[in-house]
Amino acid sequence: MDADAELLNDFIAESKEHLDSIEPDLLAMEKVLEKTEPEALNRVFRAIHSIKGAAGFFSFTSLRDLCHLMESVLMPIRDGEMAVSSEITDVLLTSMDVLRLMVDDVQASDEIAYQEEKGRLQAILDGQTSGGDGAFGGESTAPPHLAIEVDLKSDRARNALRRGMEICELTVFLRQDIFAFGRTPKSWFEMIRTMGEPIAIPPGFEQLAEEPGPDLSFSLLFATVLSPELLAPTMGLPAEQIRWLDTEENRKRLRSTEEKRSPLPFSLGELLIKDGLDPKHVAWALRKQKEGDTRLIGRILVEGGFTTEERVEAALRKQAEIRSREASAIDGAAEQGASDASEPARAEGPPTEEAPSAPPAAARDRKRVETTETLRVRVDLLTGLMDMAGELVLARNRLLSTLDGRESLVPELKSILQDVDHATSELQQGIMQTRMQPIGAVFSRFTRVVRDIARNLGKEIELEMVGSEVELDRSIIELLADPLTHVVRNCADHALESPDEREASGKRRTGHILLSAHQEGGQVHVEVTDDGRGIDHDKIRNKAVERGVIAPDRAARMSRREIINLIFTPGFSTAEKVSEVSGRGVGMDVVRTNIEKLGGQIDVDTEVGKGTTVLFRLPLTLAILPALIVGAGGNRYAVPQVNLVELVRFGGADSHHQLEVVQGAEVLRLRGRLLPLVRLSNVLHGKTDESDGKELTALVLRMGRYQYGVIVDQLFDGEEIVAKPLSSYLKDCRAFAGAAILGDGGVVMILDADGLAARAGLRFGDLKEASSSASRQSTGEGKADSATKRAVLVFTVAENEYFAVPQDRVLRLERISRSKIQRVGSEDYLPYRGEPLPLVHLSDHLPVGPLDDSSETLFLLVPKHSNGGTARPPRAGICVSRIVDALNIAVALEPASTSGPGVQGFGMVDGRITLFIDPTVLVEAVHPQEELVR
Amino acid sequence: MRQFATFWLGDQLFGMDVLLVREINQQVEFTEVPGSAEFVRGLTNLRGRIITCLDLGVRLGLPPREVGRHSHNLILKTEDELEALRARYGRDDLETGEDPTGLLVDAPGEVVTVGEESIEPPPPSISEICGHFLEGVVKLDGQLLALLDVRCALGLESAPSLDTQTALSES
Repeated sequence: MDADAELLNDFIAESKEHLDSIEPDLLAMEKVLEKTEPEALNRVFRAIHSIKGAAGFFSFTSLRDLCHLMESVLMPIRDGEMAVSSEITDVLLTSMDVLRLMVDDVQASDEIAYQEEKGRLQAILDGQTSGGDGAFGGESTAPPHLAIEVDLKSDRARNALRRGMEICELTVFLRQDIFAFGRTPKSWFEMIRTMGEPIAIPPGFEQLAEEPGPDLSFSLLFATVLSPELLAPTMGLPAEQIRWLDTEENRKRLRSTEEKRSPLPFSLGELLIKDGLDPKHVAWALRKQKEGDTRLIGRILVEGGFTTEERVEAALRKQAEIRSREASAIDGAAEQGASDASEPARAEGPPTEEAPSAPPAAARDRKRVETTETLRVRVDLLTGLMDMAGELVLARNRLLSTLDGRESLVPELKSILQDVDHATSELQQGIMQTRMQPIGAVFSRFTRVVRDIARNLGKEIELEMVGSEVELDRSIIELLADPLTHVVRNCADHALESPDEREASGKRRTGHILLSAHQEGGQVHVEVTDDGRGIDHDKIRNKAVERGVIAPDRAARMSRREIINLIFTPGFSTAEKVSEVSGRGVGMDVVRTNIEKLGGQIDVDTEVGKGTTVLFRLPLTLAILPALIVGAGGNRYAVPQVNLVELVRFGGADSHHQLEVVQGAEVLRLRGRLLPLVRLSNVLHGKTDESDGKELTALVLRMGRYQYGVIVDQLFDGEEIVAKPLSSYLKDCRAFAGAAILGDGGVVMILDADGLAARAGLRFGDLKEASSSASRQSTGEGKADSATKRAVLVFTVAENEYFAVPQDRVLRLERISRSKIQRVGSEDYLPYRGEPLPLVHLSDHLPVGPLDDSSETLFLLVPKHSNGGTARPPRAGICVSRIVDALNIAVALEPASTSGPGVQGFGMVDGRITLFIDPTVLVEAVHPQEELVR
Repeated sequence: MRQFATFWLGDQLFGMDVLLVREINQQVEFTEVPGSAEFVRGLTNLRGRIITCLDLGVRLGLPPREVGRHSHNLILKTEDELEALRARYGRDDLETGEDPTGLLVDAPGEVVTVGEESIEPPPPSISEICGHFLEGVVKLDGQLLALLDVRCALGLESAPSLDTQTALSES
């Protein structure tokens, strides 16, 4: 990278940091209007000031001017002459946004419109001036200015550059820079010609009067071999009035000078105060400057009669002394950096004209910054190191496994290997650490996001953040920022109701959003919880059908979890009106894609009227993955530990866990729960071995809130792997998340828990039930709580195959005689209240046994309509062979591996595995059209 | 003059631009990828890089290759390795896709140097099988060398439909 680009990049990075750092301060100011923390104010001021300085250096005029205006507004606030109002913080915040825009695309920053902000800032300033100290207001307007055209391509300029000169633009004030030294424009011009070569003179310069008249300023292009630090004193011009032009040589020179220069400890004002001047007067002079008085501070004071020329000169000498002393001292923490070099020519002395009474707290703050030893490092360099460390870990693993058992062959080998092993681990961890950032880096931006939304939509929202210190890999933080922002916006925009609405539903007027992060195992969990209206799954279902996202018959068959998950479908948004903030129906699908891309998972839990929680599970780092190596079908596979809950051995002669087959699917009863099982070799290799009483090993895998078991043939060791992406030829293999090279040099595929479940056709049931059972599982209670109590009807169709339906879904249950059933075509009908009623056999639609034909008496179960109405004739009835029980039980449902319309999941009823069905959903799915009934 | 790396699939000699070839080795044991397309033979570790190996036979519509004593893995160069070559030789057609890829072939042959003018359109006998994957043929001593259009063979650009190709070669 060349020096220019590097400088510019530094400027952009620093400006962004500045902007990020002051946003919380501005927001805090807004919150406690009457009592603004001086320290916060100073931080804001300093940050804006630094950006302004650097912007001037790079000639980004708009950026500089806007900063300048903001500074002008901040100044009287800092000096206690203007009270902070929400109007002020608001315009400062919006101005800051414009600054951000400008910084983001700094080369085009001059094209960004900021007239509105400018107007508002100016209006505040005007209000301040007129309402403020009238005695000094009004008279100070800038003198007329003779400008020149800066043209580095002119013959004279090119000539001078060729001769090794550097070019600068001088801003000269007739009164204070020429006549004040007893010179005339002519003699001044003669004087500067001894120091270099004027390249361009403003039109009208030659007509300038030789007598002091009305003040005026002019610009002049000047080429010289003198260095910047020499030119200013020789010419008698303040350094700020010399702008070195944008040539490469200049930059280098400037940079090296600036690195040596540290922020000056004393401004002229401070020196004068030390000398006994009343600080009030200095403050007054400073304000005059801000109001547009172009005179130097010393001159203002002298002319105002507060001090004498002699005293100012003494102070100036002292300042020069300090300056030269400082210049020789090397100060690594040149925080102000190059930015101050081109401070527009307003203030004399050090550009950072800190208020003389800068609070000690601010000084402490700066000190702390200086003593922290940090180093800016390019991210790609770190990324490269990280990759290398990853490779080193792999090589170490290979080395160890190759030499395993042979350490005794070479004396000392064992201890050398231990050293290598140890150093490698440390190195890898250290490098990983360099890339870790606290998640607070992302969290902090939400204060602003939430505030803006609340303001725009007239809501009251408080944002609570927990666990900002939790660290994540930088790349993950970067990738997390956008999805998380989207979710938080959704919360503030859609999920939280308006204050009135909240009050009406008995909630606090102020909505609450909780952002929390904590580490759990090898993952970081980030939750966004609101106490808003929650997501109504019926509404989502309807919307999805309406928008054609899913077919109506499919919608009827979907579980709650599946329906809630529809919010992640492309083109789906339930917002009733599109707001400025969100709700254009793009986003949640992108959120999920992005989270999954970085190896994370996303889950939604919601309760209508109570609120919604969005849970992100994220890996700590993308680099190295601890994994378990397993064997199936003669191949080895890697299972990331992140997805692995536990290992279970079962099916042996004396094992009390046994494989069961329920409705054609293999399940394992584990601590009172039913775990759907898949066999890895069957799913991946199409083998069809069945259990024959031998001992089996299953990995219990976690997939969002669900778990399932994977039966594998063999278990190998755990290994650390570096996940490599799959080639584009393999993109369709959903069961794998990537590939990796093992310590022995072999290549393995990395199993993807979600993809494998999808490939095995596993279907997970209702979210609520499963999640409640999962939480009980984790607390080890194992018993259902009363919250999930339900009235169910238990029946059989084939013998010893148990079904349960919720009683509130049953319209009628009638005893019927088998001989009454009439077959028409392929359908069975029953005369029922004068109409033929179609009969549904469960075995036609679910993988279950057929109707038990031993008994003449059967039962007809007529489900309710989904809208609860009873006026219309029923669509169909379900044939049942025996009613077992009607009872009120608490039961936790497990996801069913059996798929079919209306299937809710498995549960234990009276010690029997029972399939829970929603009869309404089933019947409406099987007979979707009313017409069929007639 | 162009140079071609040659190899055998069954009793047909094929060639591809030698600039595309990174190396030819006997690493023909692969980690299979269940559920992948038939032409994917599997993955192999080439000095720390994972190479996806394709069955060139299947790509060309021939029966799957059986791994034998002479079977070789022809490793193609990757995008970044080709970048420099494209610029140096002004050959925009050099392309192997983004991912490190290998091709399973029955046996390696020599590198042959061929004049542009001796490249002819493929005769019907070959066209019938895999004409649309060829950029032409060269008559060598007693042997016909079929020059592979690597971009087509790797599926980087869709091969022209069989009909037009046969029509073209018949005319």
